[in-house]
Amino acid sequence: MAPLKRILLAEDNEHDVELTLAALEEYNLANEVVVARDGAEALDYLYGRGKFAGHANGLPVVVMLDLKMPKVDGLEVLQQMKNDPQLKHVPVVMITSSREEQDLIRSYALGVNGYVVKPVDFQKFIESIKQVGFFWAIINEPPPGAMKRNS
Amino acid sequence: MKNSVENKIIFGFAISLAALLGIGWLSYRTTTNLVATENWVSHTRDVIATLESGLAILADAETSQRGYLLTGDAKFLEDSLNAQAQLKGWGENLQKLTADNPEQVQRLEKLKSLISQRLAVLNNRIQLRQQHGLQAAAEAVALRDGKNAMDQVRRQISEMHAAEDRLLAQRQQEAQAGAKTSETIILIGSVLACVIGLLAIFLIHRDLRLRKQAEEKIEKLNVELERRAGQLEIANKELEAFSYSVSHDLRAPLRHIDGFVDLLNRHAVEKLDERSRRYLKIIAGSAHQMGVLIDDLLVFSRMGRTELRQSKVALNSLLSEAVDALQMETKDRQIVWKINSLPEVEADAAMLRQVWANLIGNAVKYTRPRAPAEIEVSCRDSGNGEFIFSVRDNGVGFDMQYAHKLFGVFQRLHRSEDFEGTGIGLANVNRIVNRHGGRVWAEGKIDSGATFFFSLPKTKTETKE
Repeated sequence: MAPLKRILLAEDNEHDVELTLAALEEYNLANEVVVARDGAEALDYLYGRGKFAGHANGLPVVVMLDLKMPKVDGLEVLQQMKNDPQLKHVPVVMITSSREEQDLIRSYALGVNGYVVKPVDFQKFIESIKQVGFFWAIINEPPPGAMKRNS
Repeated sequence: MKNSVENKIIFGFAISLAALLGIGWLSYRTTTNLVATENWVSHTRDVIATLESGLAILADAETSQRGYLLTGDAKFLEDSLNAQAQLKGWGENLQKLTADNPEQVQRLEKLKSLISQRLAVLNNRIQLRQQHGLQAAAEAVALRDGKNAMDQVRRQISEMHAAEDRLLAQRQQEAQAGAKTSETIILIGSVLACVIGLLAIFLIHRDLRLRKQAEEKIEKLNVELERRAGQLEIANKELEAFSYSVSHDLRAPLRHIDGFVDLLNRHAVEKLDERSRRYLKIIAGSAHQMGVLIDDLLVFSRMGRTELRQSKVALNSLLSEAVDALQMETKDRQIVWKINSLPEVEADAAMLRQVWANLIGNAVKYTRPRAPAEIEVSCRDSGNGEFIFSVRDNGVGFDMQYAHKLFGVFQRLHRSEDFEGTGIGLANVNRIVNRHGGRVWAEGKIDSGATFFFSLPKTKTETKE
């Protein structure tokens, strides 16, 4: 059995969570998704604290980050991750509605690994999410230390 | 303002300087006059002294003659003759001194003849003494003609003396009058120069004060302007935040509508009747349409905010890129393209590509009922530093009455059932061309095609043939 890999999805909007999971389901990746509903929760998961305290979660193979979230936004999460020697190798892909140049520039300046604009068209949206999930969770070889569940 | 101050300074000081120069010249002339008068006085004194000395020499000649007459001593005779010779030199000398005055010259002539007469009498007595002895001479002297001649000489000399005195008095008077006038003029001139100088200083001072006030005013206006610029910047930032919100928040619900309609279609399509399926299709189509509108609005907003990245742009190649991008729409159409030579300009390539895409896209769209469609792109030099570009088509055209609405945001002159679109394309063209310093306008007639024009300034541009 191929090692199962964990995806961290940080997304505050429940509908977007549902649609994203629906898209990932097509590759049977939905069960591997951990959902954080804001930036603070995402960081809690990565550091094994707060409501994720005590869980030996390990690092995800990819973090899908929404830009605009309550408490801690996507750019702040990205910045903290890239400044932390333990987290900086974890791939981060922005999944956002914003095509604003400033957001792109700042994300890349902070070292983002991918930037995907959510299309309004659901077919295209599903396609994008599937491609991101497929590439990072299945094709890409994660850095050493990314937790492989059931391995 | 600066000019007027400078003019006043120059004018004021020019007048003061002219007054001072006039005063200087007058002083010089007055002094020269006084010196000349002084010279005349001493000259007159010379003349008078010479006149008097003539009388003394004559008296000397007479005394010596008398001595000779009385004693017959040759020594007296010699002295008398010497004095007579001296008188000759004296006459010449006096002639030189009075040569400038014709009246005195006349008088001198008369004096000379009187002296000659006197000397003739004198020599006659000497002769008588020599030839006929003392008695004969004494008898002749008793005739008193010598005395008469001598009196005449004296009168003549005093007449000349008086004439010189009058001349002297007249010259002194003239010089004094001249000096008096000069004095008055110098006094008035000095006062005038002072007044003008003070006036100039006052005017300059006033102008400088006014200028300072104006500068303070400008300073205040600048501060105000900076404040307004700051406010504008804040407003711009707010607008940016607003369009960011629109971009992020408005799209999410649309995506959800589209997404859940799609999921519903997958999960329940066989349970729905035809009508319900049509409703779902309309819901999805509307969501899609709104997504396009939002995207267009964001592009429009970005066109106004993004900084221009200017570089040398070959408009012909940008145009062919725009034409190529329309291949999907044009492949089944019969279109006669006529694309003329376009220049290179200094501009933002991405934005100008958008301009061509919109104008060419419109031309293709609105010629759809035509076979063949004709689309012509041209450029001409306006002659006042601008290139004027035009895109002409033989499409459905428009009513010139509504021409002013063409370039407004979300303004459309056609129903979307007839020609699809959101009404943002020409608004974008307008905004981009404006940001490059140009203008847009259009000409058209219903069913007779349309021509869209835009201008770009030639500065920093070169024509490429």
